[in-house]
Amino acid sequence: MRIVVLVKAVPIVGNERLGDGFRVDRGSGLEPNGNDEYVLEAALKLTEAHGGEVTLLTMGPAAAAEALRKGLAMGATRAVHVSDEALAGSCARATAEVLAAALRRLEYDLAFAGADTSDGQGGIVAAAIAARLGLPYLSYAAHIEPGADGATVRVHRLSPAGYDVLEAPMPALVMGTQVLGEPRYPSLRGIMQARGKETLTWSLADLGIDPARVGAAAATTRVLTAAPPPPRAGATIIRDAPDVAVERIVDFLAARSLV
Amino acid sequence: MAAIWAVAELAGGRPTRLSLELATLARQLAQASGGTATVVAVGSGAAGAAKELAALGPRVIAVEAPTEGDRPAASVVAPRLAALAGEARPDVLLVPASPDGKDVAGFLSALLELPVLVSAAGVRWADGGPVVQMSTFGGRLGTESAFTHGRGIILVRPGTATAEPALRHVVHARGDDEISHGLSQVAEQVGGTLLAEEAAEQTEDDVHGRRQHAERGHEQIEIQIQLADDGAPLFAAARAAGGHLRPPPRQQPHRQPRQESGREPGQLLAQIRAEEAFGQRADEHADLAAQPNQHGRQADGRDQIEIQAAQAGLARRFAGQRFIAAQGARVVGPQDRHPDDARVHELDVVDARRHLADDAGEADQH
Repeated sequence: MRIVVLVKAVPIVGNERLGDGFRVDRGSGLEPNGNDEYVLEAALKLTEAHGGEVTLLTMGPAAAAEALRKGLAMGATRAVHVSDEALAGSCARATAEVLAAALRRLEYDLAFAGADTSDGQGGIVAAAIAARLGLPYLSYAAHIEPGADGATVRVHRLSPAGYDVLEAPMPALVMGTQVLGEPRYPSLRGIMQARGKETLTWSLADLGIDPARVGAAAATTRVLTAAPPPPRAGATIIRDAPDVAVERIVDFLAARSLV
Repeated sequence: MAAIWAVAELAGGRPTRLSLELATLARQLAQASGGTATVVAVGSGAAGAAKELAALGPRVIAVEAPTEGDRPAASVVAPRLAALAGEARPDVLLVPASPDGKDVAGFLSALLELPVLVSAAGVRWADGGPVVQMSTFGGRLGTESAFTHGRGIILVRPGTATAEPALRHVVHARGDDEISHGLSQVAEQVGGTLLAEEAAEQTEDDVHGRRQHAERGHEQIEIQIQLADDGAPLFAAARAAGGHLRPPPRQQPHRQPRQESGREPGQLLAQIRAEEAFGQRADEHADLAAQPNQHGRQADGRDQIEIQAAQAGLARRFAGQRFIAAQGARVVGPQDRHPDDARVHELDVVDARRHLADDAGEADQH
């Protein structure tokens, strides 16, 4: 089973800051997006159980290589890094276009993507890629397994009441959640092995994409202002016995038409 | 004038709370921009949900589609929304920031080449477009963002607006003799103004009041939606069909005694003829064709407006699925699979029943 895992290199949580033009500063200190690590873990488990290989795919600046190295150390087979100066400041639409073009160049049975990213909170790029490529799209996966016939993938999709069981022919794109299971820590051996693994770097020219369609100049959205939020009002702390506390909480919510 | 669309999600045939909030937000943005608000509900039970959504003010387009069937909801909703939005080209699409909503937004972004602003905690109208407030970096920073070129999709978080019913209102359309608009334009005016449910509740006093208003302003014609026998407006039929607005000669208006139709006179100010709209399905709409003859003169003392449906691309495009009017239950075609469904929508749900997390073993048996 050949699995491509889409990885976004994001600023280390807590260290995010905006740079020029209110764009997220991704010049250094990047790590794999947390949700992407969960789907990478699921991909590694699948290939360990059923055979195959895992390819990481990212689009980002040179510093994104740090995130790829961690993924390789966790056990991925190789990495593909789409990197081009013209990509700086790309919006979600351009990102989906670029990643879709890169996926067209790869051979795979499944493509995995994590749910929302910690910096952009979007959660829409995977669906956009699936639509562009005409791939079956199975989102919010809590469990992923190959079908009995080897030509399909079966996913438990989270729902408000539990989950739905979906099945689709491969190739397909699966967007996974943290319910898939905790990602592993890279072992020392894995870190050492990662240094010798293949990392391909593709430019926009390699993908046949016009630079005018991507980057800050072509961005379809823009940040107008950015400022720390106003301080919150003080919290109401209830220290009463449970029965009284419940009553007070219900009253509190009812006063705000929340129950 | 901006066209604001809100996408409603359905659960058990009813709009979700977030959908009601979006309908209200759409109305507020439309008011701020001087534009129009529309709610689009696609899914199982859309017709029933439309009644609830309509109370919030915007025009409602309800498309019956099998979202509770054997395919993920977003894969059913997105292509239909894309077809509608591709035709009407709304300026803003408000989509719930729910799991299904994010899937829909992603699909629409790719299908319509539209930008997306995500996690909106507030939306206001400024400088000719929406300005979206969001909290980022774990709440450490608040940002305001906008579309570069005006149009786009906004994923709206719960609690951004409070769902509030709209005040009743009637919009007047100019009764210029030279009027010859596309029916979609007419529908924009009609659909957003007076809903059938409201019309059914009108009293004689309401009607008189509006008549007087119309008599004072001769250049204006009041448009309402004619009711079908089941109480549903014929709006969807007309809108799906396309056509034109054509006021009859001014000498035609005449007063007729109230007919024993069980309706208040004020319910009928416009005629929507759909007998030509659906080709081979004309028989299904024979009742629609007959209605102008039965009730067409009830708009006594005023200009009549005839909305004559004609063959149009939209009708053909949606042939084969149910397209239902805002107030529900006006089926203009058989329910069937959307012809434009792409490969992505060919997912088979092995078992769409809800399983509890510990029922994995049982799920495998299906």
